[in-house]
Amino acid sequence: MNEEQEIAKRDDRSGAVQSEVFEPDAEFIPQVDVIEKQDYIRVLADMPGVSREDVEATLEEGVLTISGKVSTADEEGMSLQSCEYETGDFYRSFAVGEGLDTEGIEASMQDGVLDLCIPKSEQYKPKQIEIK
Amino acid sequence: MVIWDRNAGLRSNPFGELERLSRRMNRVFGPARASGVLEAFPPLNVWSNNEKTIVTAEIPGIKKEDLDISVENDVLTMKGRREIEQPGEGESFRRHERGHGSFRRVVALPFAVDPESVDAEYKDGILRLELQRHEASKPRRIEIS
Repeated sequence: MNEEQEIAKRDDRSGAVQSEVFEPDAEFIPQVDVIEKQDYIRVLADMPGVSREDVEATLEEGVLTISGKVSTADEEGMSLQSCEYETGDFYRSFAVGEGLDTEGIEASMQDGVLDLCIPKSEQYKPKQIEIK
Repeated sequence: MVIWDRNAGLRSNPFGELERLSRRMNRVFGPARASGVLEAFPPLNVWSNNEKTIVTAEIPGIKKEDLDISVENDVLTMKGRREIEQPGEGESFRRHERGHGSFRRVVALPFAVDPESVDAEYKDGILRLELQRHEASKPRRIEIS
């Protein structure tokens, strides 16, 4: 295998969303977009009602887990006339492969959307090959 | 665009329970909308008592300036646009589940409200509107002389 093929193979593995598990007790699964960028993976998850303090994301052994707590807000002294959505905690877990750098993750939470930028490990980043 | 039938909407919906169950199942088992039923966006919860009504809507990731809310008598109209991050050139979605685009929703409230006294708050992706019942629409006790 020449160097170029080897790099292509590595890149294929990095950041691939392979499978996921659901927590049986979890209330809701957030809808997500995952975009693969040149140097990093961007994960965006809709978690309405979750504040910055109540969201958690962990990346361990190639598994990314996101969760958020929602405090159920009953309006005092009011009766519920119509209910189109239920409130509850969010949980989702993905296998993202091993090519990601757990140290360099950047996370932000705004308007109920969790935004994660997970850099690819140096060895999995696509590299320009110099032709001599 | 979604327009609610005033009679089938808030007041009595025989399928309401079923729709709630289906929504819950969708949310628990993922976003696969195999049923083919179009869900109204944004989903709303409506609370009320004799004095006021509270409407909450799940609209994560929208800019305040992209949300247009108006109220006339007992009709609430919500319009907006949700933009999401799109892959650039040479990039791709590995997962793409989040919806985007324009929406418009018209809802019949339980009673006419005072358009001058509406509180609107947008926090953590939830819009919350508190609307005071219009004086003219409050029931009045009639004295028999």
